Amino acid sequence: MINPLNKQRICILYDLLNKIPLAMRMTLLLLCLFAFQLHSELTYSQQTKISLNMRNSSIEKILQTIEEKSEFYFLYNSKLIDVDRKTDIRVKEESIASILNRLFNKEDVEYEVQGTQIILHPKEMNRVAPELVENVDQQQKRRVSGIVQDEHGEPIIGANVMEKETSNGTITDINGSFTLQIEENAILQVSYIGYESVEIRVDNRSTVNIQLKEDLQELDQLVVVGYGVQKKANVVGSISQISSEQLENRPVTALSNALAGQMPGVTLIQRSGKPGASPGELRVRGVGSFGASPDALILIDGIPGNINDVSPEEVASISVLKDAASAAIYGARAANGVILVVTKSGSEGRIKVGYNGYGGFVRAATLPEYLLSWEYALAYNEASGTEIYTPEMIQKYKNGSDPDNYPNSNWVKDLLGGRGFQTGHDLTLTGGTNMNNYYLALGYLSQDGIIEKNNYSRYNVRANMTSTLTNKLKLTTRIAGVVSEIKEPAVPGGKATTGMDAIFSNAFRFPSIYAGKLSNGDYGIGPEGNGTSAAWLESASFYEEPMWRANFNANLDYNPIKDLTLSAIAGYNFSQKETKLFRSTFRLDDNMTMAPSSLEQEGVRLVYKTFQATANYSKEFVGHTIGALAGYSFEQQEQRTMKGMRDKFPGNDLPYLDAGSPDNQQTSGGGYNWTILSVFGRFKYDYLNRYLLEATVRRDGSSRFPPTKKYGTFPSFAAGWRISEEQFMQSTSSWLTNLKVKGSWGILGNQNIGNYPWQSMYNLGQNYAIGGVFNQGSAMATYSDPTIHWESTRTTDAGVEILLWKGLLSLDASYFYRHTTNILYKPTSSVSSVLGMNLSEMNTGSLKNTGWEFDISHRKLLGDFEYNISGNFTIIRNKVMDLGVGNVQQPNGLIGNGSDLFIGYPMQSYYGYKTDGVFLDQNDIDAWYEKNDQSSLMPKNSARPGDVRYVDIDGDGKVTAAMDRVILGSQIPTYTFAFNIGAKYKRFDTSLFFQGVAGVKGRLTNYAGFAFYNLGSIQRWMWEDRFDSENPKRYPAYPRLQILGNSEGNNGYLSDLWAQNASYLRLKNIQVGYTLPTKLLNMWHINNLRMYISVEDPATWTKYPKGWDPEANTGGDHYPRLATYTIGVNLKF
Amino acid sequence: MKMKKIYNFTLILIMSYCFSSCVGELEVSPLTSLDQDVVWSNEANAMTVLMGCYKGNIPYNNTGFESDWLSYSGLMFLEFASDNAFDRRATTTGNSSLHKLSDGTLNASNGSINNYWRNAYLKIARCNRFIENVDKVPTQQPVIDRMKSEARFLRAVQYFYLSQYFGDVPLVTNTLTPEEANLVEKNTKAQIILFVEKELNEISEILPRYKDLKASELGRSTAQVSLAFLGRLYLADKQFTKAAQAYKKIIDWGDNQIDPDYQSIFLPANKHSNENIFSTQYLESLAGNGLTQHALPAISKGWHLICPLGSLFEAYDYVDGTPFSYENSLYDPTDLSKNRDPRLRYTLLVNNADFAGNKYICHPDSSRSLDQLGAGKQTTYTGFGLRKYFDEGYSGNLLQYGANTVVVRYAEVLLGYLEAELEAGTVITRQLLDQTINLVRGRATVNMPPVIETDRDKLRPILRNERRVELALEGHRYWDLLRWGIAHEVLNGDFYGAPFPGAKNMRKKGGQADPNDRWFVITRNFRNPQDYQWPIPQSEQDINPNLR
Repeated sequence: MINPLNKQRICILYDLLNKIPLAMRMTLLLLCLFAFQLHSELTYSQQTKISLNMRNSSIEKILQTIEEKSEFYFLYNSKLIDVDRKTDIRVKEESIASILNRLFNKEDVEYEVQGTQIILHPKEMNRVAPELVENVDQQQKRRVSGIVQDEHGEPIIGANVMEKETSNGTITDINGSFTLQIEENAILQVSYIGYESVEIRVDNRSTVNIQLKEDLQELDQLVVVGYGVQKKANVVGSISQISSEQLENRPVTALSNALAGQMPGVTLIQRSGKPGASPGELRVRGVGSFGASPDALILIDGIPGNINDVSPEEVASISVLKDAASAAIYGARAANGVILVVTKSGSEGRIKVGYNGYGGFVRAATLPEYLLSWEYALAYNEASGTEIYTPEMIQKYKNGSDPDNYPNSNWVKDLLGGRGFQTGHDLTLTGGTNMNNYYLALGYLSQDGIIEKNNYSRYNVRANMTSTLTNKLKLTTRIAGVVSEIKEPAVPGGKATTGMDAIFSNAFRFPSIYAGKLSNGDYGIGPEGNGTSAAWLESASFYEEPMWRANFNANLDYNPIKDLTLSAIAGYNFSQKETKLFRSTFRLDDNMTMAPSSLEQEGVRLVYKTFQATANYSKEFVGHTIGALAGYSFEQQEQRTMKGMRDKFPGNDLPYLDAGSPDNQQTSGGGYNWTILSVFGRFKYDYLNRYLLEATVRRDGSSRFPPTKKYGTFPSFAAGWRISEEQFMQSTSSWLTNLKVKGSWGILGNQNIGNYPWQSMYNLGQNYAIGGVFNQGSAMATYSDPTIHWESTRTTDAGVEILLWKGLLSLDASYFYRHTTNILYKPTSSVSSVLGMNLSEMNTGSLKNTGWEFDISHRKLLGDFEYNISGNFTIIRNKVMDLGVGNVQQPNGLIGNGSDLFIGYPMQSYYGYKTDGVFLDQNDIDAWYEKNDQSSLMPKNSARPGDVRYVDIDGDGKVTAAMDRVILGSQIPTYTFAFNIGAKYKRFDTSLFFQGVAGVKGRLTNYAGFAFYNLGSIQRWMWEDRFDSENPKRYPAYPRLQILGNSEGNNGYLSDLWAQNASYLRLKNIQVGYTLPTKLLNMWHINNLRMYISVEDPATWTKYPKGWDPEANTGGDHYPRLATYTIGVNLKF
Repeated sequence: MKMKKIYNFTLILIMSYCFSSCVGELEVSPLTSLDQDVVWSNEANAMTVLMGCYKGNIPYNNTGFESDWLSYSGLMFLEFASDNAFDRRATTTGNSSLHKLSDGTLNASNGSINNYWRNAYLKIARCNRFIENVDKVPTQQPVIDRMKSEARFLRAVQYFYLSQYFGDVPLVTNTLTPEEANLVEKNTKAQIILFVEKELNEISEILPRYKDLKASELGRSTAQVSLAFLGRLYLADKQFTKAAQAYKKIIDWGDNQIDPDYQSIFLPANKHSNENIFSTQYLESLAGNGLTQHALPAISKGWHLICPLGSLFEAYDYVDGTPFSYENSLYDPTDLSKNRDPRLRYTLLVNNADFAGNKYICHPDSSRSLDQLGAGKQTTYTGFGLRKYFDEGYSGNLLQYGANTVVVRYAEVLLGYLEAELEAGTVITRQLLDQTINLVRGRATVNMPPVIETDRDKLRPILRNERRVELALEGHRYWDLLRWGIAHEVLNGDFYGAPFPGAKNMRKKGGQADPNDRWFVITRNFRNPQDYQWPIPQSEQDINPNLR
């Protein structure tokens, strides 16, 4: 129960605290005054009087009682001091010295009081504290001293130095040095947590310097699992975990971003770089459903939350429960994996202060390039087939002599090509006594977007406190608050599209022949008479989204008997979001003013409450360990919204609702509730750490299902065999550190659907105007299935873990098979619209995800040089098995919904035509139509050289939508991979992190994908690689140019020409750091100071159309992915 | 030990309390929806469902699409398939699903027919549900009868349009399950027509007359509008005598008159003129429409989707009653609306017209103008713009305009009546002309010379032209061309816009200048008989083989 080693370290740390100059101590003191309890003063031992009345109690018990009644705590080695001895004690208001004298015979035990800390040691041995050592009279022994260092030559403070086979020992001081009296021929054992222990023969030396190697063994590492932690060696499920180190120093604004590529089987698709945007598509082992949302369940300290509410700095670990065995404890919501985020907690010892700060800039990782205005004019003439732009006009565009009338605007470069400042600061304080400790974090982040007036800022505060109330009762309190705000520019009144998206999409859209700002200060009115993105950006219009979040949870652990822990968690999350969209009036020129102004303001309040109780029992018999967990959980969330609108503001100075015209004020409001009620249990058994068994069951009740279907039960079983622990494997133990095979099976649920999916209701808001009055209307607009129940996923998992040469090389491989059935799907495109209603979810269809995950890591030290290489690789095959109601046989034999779901193919498929280049000339057209009559797509008389040749698949001579479309690929990547290379040389460290996907398709549409789309512009690659009638090519990258309306035209049908290869390899992060020498730092009382340069997302290699990120499946309203360049510093006191 | 027991006991107590009190929390109900039982428990709630039937998928405060045959976009945008107007979104390549209805490229994947189909059945389903349940409402029988008849009216209208465009469609008159919906079978066009005829006949006896509508009820269906649709049905089905009877009944009731002010009846101020028998209702700001955004010229920040064609422009007679020709001395290329039927000026914007305090300049050489034709701007593609429906003083949000979409007006009834009598073979008299066509063209603000032609075959083109001009851009023309069986004649060949004599920038067909210096727009190839009937949407055929 009391770890002597820890106590010794604490003793040393306490010493250190005493050595810190007073001024600094005072500063720290003031800094922390509000958060935690102070260390007692030295005189405490004299002032404190204790009363005890105990009969036949063990010494241990008595000491514990003293700890409970006072602030004293004891440090001793229970092997050296007989604390099991039973005695009586009856004292009233006596000093601690007096009590200790009563308890111990002075001949046997001595004690040392340091503040509130009391060290007990046997009389005959060296005292624990090194400065006491020399006072002891040890005539027959000789003295040895030395320094303990790590591989980098840094002193190790508090390492244990023992004379072998004796109780004689000491620990190292702040310089890593020790002095010990030893017998002749003694062997020294040196150990320190996290390092490999060494034994050294002293021989005749009087000085022994020892270097400890970091212990690369990961087997003792603790892995966070559902409702508990487990040793990695004993884990039988598939769990990936990353610790704070893998997140540190990455200048990511969103925690989700830091996860990309870190773990096999965990995929993040981030389609937008918008500051403060949602986390993107975070998927565990593929996409598990085409109906209910396939989002993983994210739990922050056991409570559902938004992963991006947590500052990366606050994270102790993130573990992802991927298979049924580990996730089933979360039952109904675990089908798509569970992500457990654990925030840091306090540690005993003096206050430790950490600071991490960085600053830098962001820019668009990639931007499309558009034609200059004179080139645009040429292209337009070519596309329209008429000379709209005469040579004189083109000349004026070219020479820039009349920029107001013949401008050359580069919207993308001018508006989106900029750099935004980004800075982040985190201050953490941690420390405490063995009774109370705390972790306090303050964070600030500010990220400017790549466009003016766009910023995301966030303030985080977190206090995690652990208090030992009695020796059986522990209270953990976590309080976190986040205040964030998104600021974006907006489009002034009068234009149909409103927000920043419109500014972006029109920057990608409007041709360069329109002027932004004119020489007289007016603004160009653009192609729609409503100005341009450049003008809107200068208006008083804005969008704001401030948000306030507070999360409280308290966790009470109670140990009524040994081996049993009863825990109760109560949590309360509150958030309030206010969105405010003000659209100003804006004068473009004398004739054109954008109007009317308007303001929309919406408040969204979210309250989440939970109560969870668990009982956890674990017992060790000889060789057998059993563990049992039983728990209960109640969760409830309610959301309420309130929205108000006014328009026609007298000016743009008062963007508050009251200032708007009272004649058109509108309000709306609503909300939802949901509740989940669960019981769960887990049983674990292992024999000799060799044979591991685990069984889990959870029963959930959800408000989202009809009364008779509310409850679902989710079981799982898992087994593991650590072959390397077997007797017969002893011969290999020198190199095979761990070999484990494991397998699991289980059923998991998914209920990520609307809140009221089964009730047949008349929805309000179907309003209609009669007699000049706007009347409330209602309609049963949705067909609901009153018998729906859980979607469930049956997961089978098999894996092997290999650890070689004590961690020099580790290899993990697993295979999984996830079969999702009763998918909660809205089979909209499978039900005739003759029904006249939308469809709510039904349990229909099934889906399979099978795959392999590989994880490999290697780490080696070569003198001053240390390197590590790790990589992961995942193959996921997604296959639709059945669509149930949606099984519609297409004329060409495929069974599916006719758009993106077909049996036997991955979901999110692209279904379109095969093409065979373009027509070269009229003869080609005639010949092609003879055999592949594509009139239904492109009437023959409209076909021109340069138009796409669609292939007749079924061989009937005609190309039709019904018969000649095929599956062209899916938006879900088949292969995802990442690798990380890190190296350290002396004080320098560097790392490179690559990540990529393959076997995936993407598609650009509308303004992004097509030239001259709806008044749109043309990108340079389209122009350069278009079909050119002067030099006709069969396979140009872009077919004949044509002026398009708001459809993509006869060449734009979804075909293999447009379902693009979206595979990529991305340099995700590159980092170089330098750690300052400890000696230097000691002068300033700094423990560690590291400076680094970090670049995030600087380069991507892909075949996707030039200028677009391969994860951007966009029509143009797209915020480009950001590349981040920062310089930062980590500081630890 | 005692303490321990107390701890345990307390914990168990808390847990069991929580458990027992929490089970009930699993029962939650939507916060902004009405339960089935509540809906039919009183008249006010039932009325909300009826409002939902009227609404169908007609959007408010938004730009619409083919969301309903009675929405502004659903109704007026069908003109894009006629010789009256060109969809700017079709640009010069014909890429507009509405344009494609009649240019020879209509197929089952056409987005517009899918929208019309889908939203028709959406409205039908709402009406069916209402009709099945409204008898439960505890209120007086006449109230129920009227409400039910309104739903039957709305449903019949949908079937009217379905029969006219798709022909054979499933006749669904009760609520369906998804399984049933996937197995419906087609009924013949004749069966649909029979159904619509029966329904409209019955409800025209139940629904109140126009004059009996209270001010607070304006916009609800009446006997007149039922009869007007019946008249249309008979005209299209060539049951001319019955058509005449239906129309005559409206005329004889005398609840509705020709409004002397042609222009005003389309504007918000006079939208309740009794000439407007039935309109889709909009309200400025709260329940507005996006016609302004869609169709205003660029100078007024609109998207100029509606580009009237030269063909329509040429349909307006000269003010003296002579048909338009470029050779006539009254022709003035500098002011195209000069000396013309005044309805031209009320309906179209021509180059140099004054509009909303600005000049509408669309001349292809006017490179300084926002509305310049042909330079790739968001402007007219024909040289004409739309003026009808627009209140030039409107300064509000362009998505929240308050003009109604007129579905049936008295002028159509008069012209329909004359057509029915004419086609039925009734002897045409001057008196009949004066009671119908001449009332329409003789209204104070139009004041065109009366038609005196009484020969059937000579009168027919005059009447058809009168109908085209009077009802221009109100959504009738395409249907008229189909039912008259002349679409393959009219919608084949080249279409031109406005004349711009001497313009430097001219869009010419194949480099050939037009003798009248008109801007070339596009060529249509209406297929006979294929394009007279819309195919059932491909997605519906894919799901239900019975619809193939």
